[in-house]
Amino acid sequence: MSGPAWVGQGIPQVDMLDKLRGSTKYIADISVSGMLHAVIVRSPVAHGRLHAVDVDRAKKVPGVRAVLTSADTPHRFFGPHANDWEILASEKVRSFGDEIAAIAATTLDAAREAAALVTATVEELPAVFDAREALRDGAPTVWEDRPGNVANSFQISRGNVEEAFAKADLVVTDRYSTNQIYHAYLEPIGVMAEYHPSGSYTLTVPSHIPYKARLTYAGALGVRPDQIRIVVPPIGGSFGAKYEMIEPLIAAVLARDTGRPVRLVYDREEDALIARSRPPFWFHHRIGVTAEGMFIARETEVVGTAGSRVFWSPAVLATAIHRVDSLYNFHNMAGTGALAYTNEAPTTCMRGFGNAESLFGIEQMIDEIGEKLGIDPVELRQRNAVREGETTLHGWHISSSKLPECLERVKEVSDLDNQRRETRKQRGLTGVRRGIGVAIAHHVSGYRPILADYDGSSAIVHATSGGRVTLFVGEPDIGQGQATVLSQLACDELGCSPDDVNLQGVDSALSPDAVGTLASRATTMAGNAVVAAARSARQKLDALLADHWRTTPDRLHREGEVVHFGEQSLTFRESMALYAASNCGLPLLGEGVHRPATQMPDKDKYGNPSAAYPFAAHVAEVEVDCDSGQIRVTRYWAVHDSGTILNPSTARGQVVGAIAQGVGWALMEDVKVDLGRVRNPNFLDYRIPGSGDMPETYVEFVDAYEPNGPHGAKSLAEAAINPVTAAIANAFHDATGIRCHDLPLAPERIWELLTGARAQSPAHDAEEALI
Amino acid sequence: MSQPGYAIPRSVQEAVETLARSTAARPIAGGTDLMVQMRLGHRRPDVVVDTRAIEELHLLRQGDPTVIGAAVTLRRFLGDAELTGSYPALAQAANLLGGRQIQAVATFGGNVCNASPAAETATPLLVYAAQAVIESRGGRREVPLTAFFTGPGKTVVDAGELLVGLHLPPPTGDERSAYRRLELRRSVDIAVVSASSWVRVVEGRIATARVAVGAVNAVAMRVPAAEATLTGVEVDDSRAVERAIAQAAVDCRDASRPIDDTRASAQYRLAMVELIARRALNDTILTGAH
Repeated sequence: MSGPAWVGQGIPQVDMLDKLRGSTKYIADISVSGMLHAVIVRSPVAHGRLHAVDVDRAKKVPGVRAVLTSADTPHRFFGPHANDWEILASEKVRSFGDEIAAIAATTLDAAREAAALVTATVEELPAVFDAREALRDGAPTVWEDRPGNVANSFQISRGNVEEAFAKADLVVTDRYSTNQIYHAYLEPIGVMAEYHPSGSYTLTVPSHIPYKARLTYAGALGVRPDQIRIVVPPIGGSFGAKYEMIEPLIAAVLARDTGRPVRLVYDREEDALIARSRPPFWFHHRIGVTAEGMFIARETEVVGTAGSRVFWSPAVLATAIHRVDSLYNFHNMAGTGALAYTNEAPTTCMRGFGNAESLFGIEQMIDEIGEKLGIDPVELRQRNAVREGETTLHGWHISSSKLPECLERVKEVSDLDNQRRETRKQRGLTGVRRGIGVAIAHHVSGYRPILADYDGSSAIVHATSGGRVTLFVGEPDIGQGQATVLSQLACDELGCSPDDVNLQGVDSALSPDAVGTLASRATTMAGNAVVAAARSARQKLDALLADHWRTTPDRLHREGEVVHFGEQSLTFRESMALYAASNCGLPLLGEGVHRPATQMPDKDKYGNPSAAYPFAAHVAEVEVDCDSGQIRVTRYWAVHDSGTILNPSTARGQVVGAIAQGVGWALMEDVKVDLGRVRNPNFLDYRIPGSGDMPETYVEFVDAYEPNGPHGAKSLAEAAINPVTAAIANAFHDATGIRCHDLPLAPERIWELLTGARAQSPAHDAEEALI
Repeated sequence: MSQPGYAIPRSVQEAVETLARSTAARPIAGGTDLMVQMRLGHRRPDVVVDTRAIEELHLLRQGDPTVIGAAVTLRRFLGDAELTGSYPALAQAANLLGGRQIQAVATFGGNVCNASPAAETATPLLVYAAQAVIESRGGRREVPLTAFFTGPGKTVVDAGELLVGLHLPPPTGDERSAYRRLELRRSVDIAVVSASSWVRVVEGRIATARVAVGAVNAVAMRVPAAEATLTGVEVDDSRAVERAIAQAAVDCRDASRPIDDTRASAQYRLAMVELIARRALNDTILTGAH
């Protein structure tokens, strides 16, 4: 067999035409007979005791079929990380988003009209809106059984950090904060629930960890997991927001009460008002270095916001504290962190998952260390980066890393040294200043402790007599191009074309159980499983063809979609017709199981949670208008090691998309919350970058091969956003000499920093302001 | 939550008759503001009067006066080389209002009647000394734009009245103008502060100056102090011009009473209105946009 026909080809995404034509059916496009529309009534206060909810008037609105309160639900506490979720609030409300009643009606208008008639008797309580305040003595208590408002905490240490700091020639200490970011996916949250007289449910939910979510939902509804069928429709983006949600449960209790299918779809304002955003973090970092620029100690303390209940923030906190040790070798480390309950919307994970947050500060401090020691920032990173073959402080095994090559390449293509010589000469606090900055990052390709039962992945390949191939995996496509890449992998094993292949949407009645699509795992994990499944199917097919031609499978020769034996040949479709005819119509089935070479971390978090680690080196160039504080990213270079690139076109798309998302985070995105209320729940005032904000971008993938990945591939999606905010902040520093410790680097904040700096260096007053 | 009625009058007369029948009637053209406000419940008209079938509201012609009908879309204006050449500040502002889809349906009448203090077309129309032509059953009246805006979302157009169009003095050939705004992102945004300026130079001196600022008061407004500062300045005396521009920008800041909101603090707006006014004046007088 010659080289792969499909792997490595930049074919367009297989579902792109459907999406462009608008024929993809998202939840809001799905309507079933008898379906009711749901609307949620939320708390009128940020914090209060809920004495009564009056639903009488709401129930009288024509078309209303159900108005439910906590009393109508199974009424238990549950949740993915802490038992602090309720389907509907019972005794207390802890944020404006808390759900106090749910309405199902024959029309959305009727449901909304009824919602406006629900009244709650609430005794307002003092509230707390800042995680740091929440953790202080005397702060209002959000959960009576959690005095001190500690929602979660995390500690870890390796080596002897104090001893190491004592030996350090240079110790840098600083504070950094990262802000609250809305995922801003294109499709607002939407779900549909059906209740069956047998006592079971079908939940159509855009979760990308449907099997984990099912466990949570079963606990909430008081049923066995197998009594819930989860169907995953096409997902219009998530970036981590749609893991496990309260909405499917609200729809489920309405469906059970009414006996009718219930659909709940948010508009943009509601979606953004209750957004479970990226948790804001406040970091204190300390790094100890030798005079030669070798890192010897790191200490990190973090406080973060969990909000009124805990979604996935604990996993984000742990990542923010210790993942960076698999990028740099600090030799000794200690990290502690706490998440606080506050009277704000709950927070959850977002692309980058704590790693991006941590790197915003650490990558700036590494530049600062370089400046203090007179070591080039690229060189300093090269000296301290974890290398291929190493096992890191926490037991993570780096099976492949071309980070050194990424750094050298990004330096070369951005002409970094020459550019920086220029920008350093022009550094200043007035007029327009240009700066250039570098940052590196890594991530995982899956994270084992998430659902320990199902590390790895499994897949089924199903091919019919007509040559139609369907892939079944438990990892939902979230719009990132997974169906395309999995199709390419299957085609090279089976000898068919992506036009012949469909990826079955995840359906717990049909698909393998799985961890799902998170932690940048799907290409590596599901990819390996699909290769194994397609290979097992091909072996069956080859055995049949060998029989047919009275030879042995090793004498067959595949070229594209044709199998040859000597002068004889059959296309994939012909061979499938033969297979079915020879097996009384049985489709060709292949099974694949992939067990990655990971090691479950122990109670001290020591172990190897991921099969492969991707790396990236980025350079950003910015222009700062010092008079207004506006920053423009003018050029951007991204060089990645993601192993073998299965599809250069979708891979590039991932990187460009991550840069866009990172530019937004760095420069403008910010959920503005005032006394617990979101003030900018729309795309007018929650700004995400438009085309005019995007720099000219250069994307390159270095030659690399990951032994644990399918065809040598490893992950990409999160590694690509992780360095962006730091690269931009480092470029801003290069332009002005000012460190920005807080995100975003929005015009007003930058203007304040520059105004403050000018006041301290009166020499600048004499400079003529550029206009 | 009942649906409002929808009327499609064919003439100004028919439109004002319809509008007169209810105090909660609201004209609509592109709907880019009104539809959003209705969806959010900020405005609840009982009847929406579609003005797009009225021929007079589509008038667009340069002359004495230049007429911009209330239902003329931004895109149509931007496609008219003569008008964009004669009124460059208005063209710059219109080009920054929304994205291309919005510009294709949003109208001049809608933008001024929505009366956002940040409205893109407000400050250029103010410095071009536009007159609003308003009709009711009682007849037609003309109101200078300086007296048109009465508060955020509020204008002198009463219930039963319809803005027919805007009248602008014709270009004389010896004037220059420019628009500037500060925005928080570089694509499709609303102004955090904005400024327009217009000067007429006669025999080497600024004979008349008009300066207007947006998003720093309850209404977009002219700044007479800045205009007085600029009047009489010799345009070839670069030091005098620079001094006058700097002072006029300070005058703009002094005239501003901005608020804190999610977009910016009042303090930042004050600093920025000076900067943006200075940039608009530089464009107008030094760079000579026109």
